[in-house]
Amino acid sequence: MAETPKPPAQATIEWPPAGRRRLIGQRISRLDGPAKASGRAKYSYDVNRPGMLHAKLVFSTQARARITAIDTSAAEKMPGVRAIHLILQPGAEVRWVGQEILALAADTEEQARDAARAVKISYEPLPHLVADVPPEQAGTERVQQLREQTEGDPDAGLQQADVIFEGEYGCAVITHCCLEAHGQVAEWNEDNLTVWASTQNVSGLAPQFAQGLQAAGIPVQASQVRVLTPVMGGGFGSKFAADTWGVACAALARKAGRPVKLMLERDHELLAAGSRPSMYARVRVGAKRDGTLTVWHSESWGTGGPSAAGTPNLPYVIGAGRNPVLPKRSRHTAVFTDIGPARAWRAPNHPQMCLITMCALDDLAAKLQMDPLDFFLKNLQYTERPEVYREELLKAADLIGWREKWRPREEALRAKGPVKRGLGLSLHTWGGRGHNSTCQVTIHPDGSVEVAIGSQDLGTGTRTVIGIVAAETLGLPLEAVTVKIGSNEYPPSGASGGSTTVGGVSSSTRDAATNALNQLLAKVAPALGVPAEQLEAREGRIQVKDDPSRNLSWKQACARLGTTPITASGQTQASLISSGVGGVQMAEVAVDVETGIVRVEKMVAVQDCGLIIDLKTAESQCYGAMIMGICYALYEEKIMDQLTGHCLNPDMEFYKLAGIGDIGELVVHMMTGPRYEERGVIGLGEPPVISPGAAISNAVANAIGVRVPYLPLTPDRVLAALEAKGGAV
Amino acid sequence: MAEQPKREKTPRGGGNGLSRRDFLKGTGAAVSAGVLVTEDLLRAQTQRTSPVVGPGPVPVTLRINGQPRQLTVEPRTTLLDALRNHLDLTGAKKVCDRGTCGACTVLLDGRAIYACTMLAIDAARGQEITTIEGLAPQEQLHPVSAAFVEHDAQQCGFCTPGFVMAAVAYLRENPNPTYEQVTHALGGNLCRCGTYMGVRHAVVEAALRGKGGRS
Amino acid sequence: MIPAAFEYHAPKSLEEALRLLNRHGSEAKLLAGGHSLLPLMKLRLAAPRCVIDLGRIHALRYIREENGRIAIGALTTHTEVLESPLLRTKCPLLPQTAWEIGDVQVRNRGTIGGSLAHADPAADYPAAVLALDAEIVAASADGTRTLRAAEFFVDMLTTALLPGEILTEVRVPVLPPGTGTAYRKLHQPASGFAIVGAAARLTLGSGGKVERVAVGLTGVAPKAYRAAAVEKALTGKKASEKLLAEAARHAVPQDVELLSDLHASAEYRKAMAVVFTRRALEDALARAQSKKR
Repeated sequence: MAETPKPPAQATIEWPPAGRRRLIGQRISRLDGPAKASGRAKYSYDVNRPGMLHAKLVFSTQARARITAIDTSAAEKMPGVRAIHLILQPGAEVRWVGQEILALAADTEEQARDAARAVKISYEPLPHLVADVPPEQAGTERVQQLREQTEGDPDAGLQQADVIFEGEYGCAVITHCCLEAHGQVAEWNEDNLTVWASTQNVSGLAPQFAQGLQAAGIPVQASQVRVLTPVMGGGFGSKFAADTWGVACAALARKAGRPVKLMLERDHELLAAGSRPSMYARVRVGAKRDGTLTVWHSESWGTGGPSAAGTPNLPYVIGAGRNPVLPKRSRHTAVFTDIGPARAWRAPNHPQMCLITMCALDDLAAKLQMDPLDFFLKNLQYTERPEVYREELLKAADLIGWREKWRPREEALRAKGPVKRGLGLSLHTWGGRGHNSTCQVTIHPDGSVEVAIGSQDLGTGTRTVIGIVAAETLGLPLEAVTVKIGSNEYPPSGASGGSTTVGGVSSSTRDAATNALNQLLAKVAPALGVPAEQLEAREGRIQVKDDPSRNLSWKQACARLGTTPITASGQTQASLISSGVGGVQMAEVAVDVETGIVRVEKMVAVQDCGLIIDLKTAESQCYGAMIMGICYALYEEKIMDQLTGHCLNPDMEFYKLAGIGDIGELVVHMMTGPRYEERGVIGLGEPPVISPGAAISNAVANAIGVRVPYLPLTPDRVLAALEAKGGAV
Repeated sequence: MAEQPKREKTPRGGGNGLSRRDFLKGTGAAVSAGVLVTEDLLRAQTQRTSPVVGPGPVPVTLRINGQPRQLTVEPRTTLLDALRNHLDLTGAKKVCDRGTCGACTVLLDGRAIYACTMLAIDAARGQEITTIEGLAPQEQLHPVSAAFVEHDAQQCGFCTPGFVMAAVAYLRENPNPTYEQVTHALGGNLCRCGTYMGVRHAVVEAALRGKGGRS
Repeated sequence: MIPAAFEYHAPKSLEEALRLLNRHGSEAKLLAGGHSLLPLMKLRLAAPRCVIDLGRIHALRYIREENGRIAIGALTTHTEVLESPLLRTKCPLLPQTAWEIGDVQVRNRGTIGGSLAHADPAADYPAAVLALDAEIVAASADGTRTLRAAEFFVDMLTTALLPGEILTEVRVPVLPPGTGTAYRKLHQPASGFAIVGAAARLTLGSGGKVERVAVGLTGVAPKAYRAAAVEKALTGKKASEKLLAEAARHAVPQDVELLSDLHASAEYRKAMAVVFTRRALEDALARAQSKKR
C-alpha cells in the first residue's frame, strides 16, 4: 500500500480514554440489521438485472481423469442457450469431482440446467485417492514430508518424564458450506465490467477478473472492473478469489451481450468451493508426577486435497512460549488427495492443532489422575501469556461450575442411567493485527458525513464498527454517519481474512475521521476565537475544550465550509491495534452411552480481543464460533467414497449443521478493562472457533472414561470407543 | 424468460370499481387483462376437466402478499424459483433447495412452508402466499424483524428471512412460547454463522411484547 | 430446481385423478404434499413425464370417527394429524409420530397418504400404522379395497398398491382404555429421517399384565415391520422394566435384512432397534399405567 502524506495531526492518534467513549464498547445493533431482517438486503444471489441470463456449470464427474472430448453440439441447439464458455480444454486433467469444465448461459435457469445436462464429456480415467489415509497407505508419490521442528532436547525430555501418554487424534475434512453459495452476476457496459460478487475481497477481485478474462481472450484492465458486495452470505475464508466460475460468468456475459448470473448449486458448493484440511497425529507426551510437562513428540499428517496445507505448529499454545522452552519434536506429512482443493477455513490449521494438543494433554492429565484444570494451570508457564490464560481459566471455571461439577473419568461413568456427563476445556490463541486499509471521510457543508472503505461485511459487523468509530471520533450519533463499503470504487482495503479486518478498518477510520475533524476544527477555530488545538467535537457540537459553553452545533460548524466538503483519508494505524489474543473454552456434555449420541449441555467462552468496538457483535462472533465448533465437533464431515471418488453428502440433508436445538446453553465472557483495552483493537473472527472441538472432545472423554479419537464425535465412534474400553459399565 | 422480470403493479381483484371491460381499455391492459383471462380460463377448465398444462411455460396467477401476481413458469418451477427469478421477490433465499435449511420459508395460508419444495403451479390455487416482503410496509419493520435486530439474531443474514418467517408463523398460533418450544418450532431452519442464541431471545422477546402475531 | 420437465394435471375429483392415472400409467406420478416426490425428482431418482397433483381434491382431507375407527383422508397433513383433538384423545400414537416427522415446514405440507404411499424405509408413519393394525384404503377405477398395514409395505419404496390405484384413506382404531402408546426415534441428525423409529402400543389388563402389545419398527430394514417376537415375549406377562428390556432384545429377527448406509451401519441399527424398542415400550407402559390409575 502506497504511503500517502498525512496532514499535520494535532497529536498522536489514539483511542479515546475509557471515560470519554460514548459508543465504542457499547452494545450497538448492527447497521444493516433492519435490511437483512426484513429481506430487503440484496445479496449477489438476489441481483436480477434487465435481460439477465442464468448460467450453469458443467463439472467433472471423475475424481481424476483426462478429458478426451467435450461435446457441446447438442447443448448449443437447446432452447434459450446464448453462450458457452470452456474452462478446460480436451486433454486437460481433472483432479476432483466438481472441478469446473465449462459454463453456459441461457434465458432461464431451467433452460441452462437442461443444456448443461446435454453436454457430453468423455474421460480417460486415472487412478484416484479420495480416502483420508495415513501417509504409509497413500503411496510415496502422494506424500510430502514437511519440515521437522525440534526445540530443546526432546530425548532428554522423555527421560525426565515420570508418566508418558501415547495417543492418536484427528479430525475429518469439512467444508465451509456458506449459505449464500459462491457466485456472482456479471454485466458489461461497453468495455466496463460490473460484478456483483459474493466475496470477502471486494478491493482485490478486479485484478483477478482482469487477469482471468485476458487469459480467456477478453482484453480488460482492472480499472475497468467494478466489484460490488453490499452484503454477502458468509465466506469463512472461502471467498477470496474471482474463481473459475467468476471469470466464466463474465466471459459468458461478454459473449452473450447480456448480464449473467452464475451461483453455484448446493452440491457444487460443497464439492468444490472450499474445504478445511484434515489433520491427524500420533502423539507422545510426558510429564513429571506433579504434572509439569517435560516433552512433546508428534507425527502428524493430513490432506488438503491437491496441495499441502501448511506446516502445523505442534504443540499448540502450551509449548509455544519461549521461557521456558518445552522440549519438542514434531513432524508433519502432507497427503495429496483428489477430494478438491482446501481453502482457508476460519483460523486455518488452528482448530486441528488445538484438538491434537489439548486432547493429548487432557489424556495425560487423566493418566496422572489430575484434574485437567489444575494440570493446565500448572503448565501455563509454557504459554506466551500465562497471566491472561490463568485469569481466563479461572473465570471460565467459575462460569461453568467446574470445581463443583468435575469428576474423574471413571466416576462419571458410574452415574446412574444411560446419560453420562462430563466437562472438558481447551485454550487457544490467534494473531490478528490489521490489514492495509484506506478510509475516506467526507464532511459535507450540510453536516452529513460519509465514510467510505473498500471493505466488506461478512456478517461480522464490519459496517457497524466503521460507523461507530467515525461517529465516536466526530462526536456524532451513529445515525449521523453514512457508511459506504462493499465496492472497489471506495478506497482500497484488505481482504477479510485472519481476523485482520476490524484492526484495519477501525484504525483507518479513526485516522481519516481525525484528519477530517482537524480540517473542520481549523475552519471554525476563528469563529470560536481559539486555536484549533483547543477545540473538540462532543455530542453534536464543536466546542472549546475548557469552556464547552463556547460552541457551534455540528450543522453550524459545517455550514462554514461554504460549498466545498472536507475529504480526508486515513490508513491502518499500527498504534491503534494489536495482535495475539488468548481464549479459554469449557464444555459440559451429556453422552447417551446406549446410543452414542453426544449433546452439548453448556459451553463457556472467555475471550480477550483488546479494545472492543461493539460488544454486541463481538459477543455474537463468540456465540457463532462456538456453534460452528459444535458443528465440526459433532456432525460435520465430507464423506468420500474411495470406490467412485465421489463425495457422498454434498447436500444439506446429509451434511449436517447444528440446528437451534443442538447447542445447549452458551455463555460468553469478554475480557475487558484497562489491561486488555490498552492493547488496542484486535480481531475476533477466528479465535473463538478454535477451541470447541477440543473442549467438547475432552468433555466426552471425561463423561465416558475413554477418548473418542477423531472428530466428528459420531454415535458409532462413541460406541466403538466404549466397546474397545470394555463397555459402558 | 428472456425479459427482465418486472415489478408489475397489479390491481386488487374486485372492489376497485372497474369492470373487466374498463381493464381491457385501461392503461394497464396488457398485464391486468392477462390476470383475468387466466383466472377465467382456469375456472372454465377446472369445471369440466382438469387443466393439462406444460411441460412448457404456462401462465399462472399467484396470490402473493395480498396481490394477484401473474407470471409464466414451467410446471417444474418451484415456488421459490418463481418468487426469486420471475417476481424479483428475493427475501426468501435459495440455499439447500432440498427442504432442509428453511432459508426459503414463506407462509402458505399462514403456515410456514419450504418454498423450494412446492411447485409454483401448485400454489396457484388461490392460496395466500406471504413472503417476508409482505410482513411490513416499506421503511417499516415487523416486530419480529425488529427483535432480530435488537438481539443480533443475524450475522451474514442469509438465513434470517427464513427464520423470521418461521417465527412469525409460529407466534401467530403460539403467542406465549418457552425457549424450548421456540427451539422445537424453529428446528426447520439452519444458520451457518451460528446466530441461534440471538434467535431464541428475539423470538421469546417478540412474544413477550405481544407483538409476534401482528403484522 | 427440478431437472426434468413434465406435464402437470390438477384433477378436482378422485374419479378424475383415477382416469388420469389410468391414461398415463407408469409415466405418471402422484403429487400430494411434495415432500417425498419433489426431492426424488430433484435428484433425478424420479423423472415422470406427467405429474398428477392431488392437491385440489379437497374430499381427501379429513379426520373423522366412523364405526369405531378413525378415518384419515390421504391428503391430511402431518400438522393436521398432530393437532387433531380426535386423534389426540382416541389414537395418540399417530400425533405422537407426526410430532417427530421432519420439522414444522415439512409437517405443514407433507401428507399421511403421500408418506405411506412413498414407503421410504426411513419414514415415521409406517411404524405407527403397523403398531396400530391400521387399514389402508386404495381406490381404483374398479372401486376400493382395504389393505391391512401388515400387507401394505412390500419393499423399499414399494407398497402393495397396484398400478392405477390411489391411496385414499387410513383407518386406525380407537384405542381401548388402559392403552399407552409411544413413538421413539433416532433421528438422522441432518435430514431428521429415522435411522431407527419404534412405535409401541401397549394395553394393560388386570393385575398389570400386558393384555395386548404391538411394536412397529422403521428405518431398520428395507421395509417397516412388526416386531412379533417382542410382542410374544410380553403378551400375558406382568409388565416390568426388566421384562420390557428382555423383550426388546428380540426387536430384530434373524431373517431381517438390515439397512446399512453412510448414516448408520447395520450393526449400529440393530443395536439401536433394541434400545429404541425398549424406550418406546417403557414410555407406552408408563402412559398405560397412568391411564389405569
